[in-house]
Amino acid sequence: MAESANGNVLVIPCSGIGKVHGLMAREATYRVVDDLEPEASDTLCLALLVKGDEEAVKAVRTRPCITIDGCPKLCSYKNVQLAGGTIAESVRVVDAFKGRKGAQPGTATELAGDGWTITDEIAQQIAARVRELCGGKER
Amino acid sequence: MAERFAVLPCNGLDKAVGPLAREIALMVVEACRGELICPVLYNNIPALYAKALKLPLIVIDGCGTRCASKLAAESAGGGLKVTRKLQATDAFKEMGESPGEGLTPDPERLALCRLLAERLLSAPDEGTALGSEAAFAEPVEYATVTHDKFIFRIPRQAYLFNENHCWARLAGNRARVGISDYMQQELGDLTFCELPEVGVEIGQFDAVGSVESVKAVSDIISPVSGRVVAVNPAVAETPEIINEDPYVRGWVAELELRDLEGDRALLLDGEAYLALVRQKAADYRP
Amino acid sequence: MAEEPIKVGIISCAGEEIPEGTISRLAVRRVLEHLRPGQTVSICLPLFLAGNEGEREFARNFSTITIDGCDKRCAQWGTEKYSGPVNAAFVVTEILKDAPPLSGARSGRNLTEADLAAVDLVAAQLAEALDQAAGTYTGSQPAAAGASSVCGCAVGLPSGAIQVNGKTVEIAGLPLIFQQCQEDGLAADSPDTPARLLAVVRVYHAVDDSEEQAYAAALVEAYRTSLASDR
Repeated sequence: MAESANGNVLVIPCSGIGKVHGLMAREATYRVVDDLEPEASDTLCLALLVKGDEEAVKAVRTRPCITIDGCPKLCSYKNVQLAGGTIAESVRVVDAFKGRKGAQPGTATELAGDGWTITDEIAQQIAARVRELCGGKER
Repeated sequence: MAERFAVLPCNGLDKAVGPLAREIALMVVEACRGELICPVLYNNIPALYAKALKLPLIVIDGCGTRCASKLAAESAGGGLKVTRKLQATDAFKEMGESPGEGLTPDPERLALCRLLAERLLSAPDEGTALGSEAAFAEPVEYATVTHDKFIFRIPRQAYLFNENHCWARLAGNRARVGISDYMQQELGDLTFCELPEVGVEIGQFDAVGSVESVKAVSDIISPVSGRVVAVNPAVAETPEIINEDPYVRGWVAELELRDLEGDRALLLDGEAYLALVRQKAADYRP
Repeated sequence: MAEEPIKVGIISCAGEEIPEGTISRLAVRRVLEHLRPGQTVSICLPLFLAGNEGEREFARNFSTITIDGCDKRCAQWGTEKYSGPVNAAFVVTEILKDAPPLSGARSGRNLTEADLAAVDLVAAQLAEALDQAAGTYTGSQPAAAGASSVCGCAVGLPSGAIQVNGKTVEIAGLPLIFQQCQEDGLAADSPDTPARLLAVVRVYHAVDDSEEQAYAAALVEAYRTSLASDR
């Protein structure tokens, strides 16, 4: 996959408001872009992209994108793709639950223990991918 | 009087499925007091089986080479009319079981052969063969109930429901079961689906598996009684199939029915379930 | 007043780039879960924009309120584009212009007391707007002059009357609807006019399926009269 030659990697969540998975996608994004790889990654408003905002469209077309979707509806993946974005990785929060029977992640308003744990795991996975895309080494 | 059959098995000797096909054939013949046709002898002197072949014919192949089916198809007079058929390798796979390695079937394999023999005897005639997807084809028409932004689909025909929002789709003496669109929406994105064991007996309203989402774990309550003859491994692997297509691809288990008429009295048809969902929709909280 | 609460849809931008997006999202959840449970339907903006028919159909048939984090107004834009006019549109930066500044945190892990107070403030505004949209507002806001609407979601709007199947029907906001259509260049005899008028009126006024054609014809006639009187 192409390295991030044109700027930071974009991490774009779906932020679906109805399900806890949407909140986890959002929080995983913040963990990456604010804490784990703040110099190498940014986020972008999905709605702005769908609206056709010129800057947003240009950004997804010129920078590698990692989409994080809460559920199999894949709103972020589909909309970034429709906008002509280059998707380096597509992550689905719901997949992270498949190895965790009985997990209690919280609600669409507030994450609970398992929710934060899984979110942080997803964030670490994405941060590693960001480093790869920037030509850095994985931990 | 139970129906009698002529049974033509393959003659596979060098693979495990050959002896299994033979065992199934012997069990069928014994159960229905039918006639066994030796494929080698028939191939040499077909006239010896003229009387036997007046009975409806069951063909049993061991593997995909389908020697018995080919023999029946290539027989003089345009081929034999096959009433029912079974291919042992496929049938074992459908049950989630292995035919094993040895040429002498072990007791566990023999028990599965007995199950398959019983299925053959109770199955519909050719056209809706055992395990045929055509027997569980897409429902003709869905009714919908809309509540706020949520749309719940209910098949109008061919499905029976219980009040636990689980359905049974009938085909001959078998039924597939699963959860309704209302239930999958109430649960949300499914992360696990537990399947029942093949061969277990299920009573009406017994649990026949379970589904789990981040919101809840829920048993799948079987609308009908019977024996589990097949499960759908796809939904265990990818539970979201149930969210996407709860009534067709999202089936969980297939049962050989035990007492459909008795069970039916306590079930809802499509129209009655539609009325129930209308009532429940008012309390729906995603 | 209806026995069942009148449902109102709220669409939030949930903008990921700015703290106001987080405030917007949390304010909607506050209204949904605490302030007006059972009266609110939250529309998921990503799903809505991606074309989910349930979300869009609801927004077409029920009153909607949008809350955007910033003045780009993505939620308002999306709702108007795919479903129709909104009852009320809010922007968090405007609501909070006189409030203490936000901390700048975007993640729920890092929100401060000031941020949570901002959520409460925005949620209160949304709840009030929801009450107005549902016709349950009991505040002191005076009705606009000439308002005689019988529709609960249109307090303070001028209304107009049409004749449907021999009976007089008051439609909330009709003069404003006609004004907007005129500004958009909609001709009375355009083939699109009946459907367009009916779609907009339905946001404010329930129309039984069996009377659709009668309503459409009456609206076109009233619109023609309105255009003629403006010349």
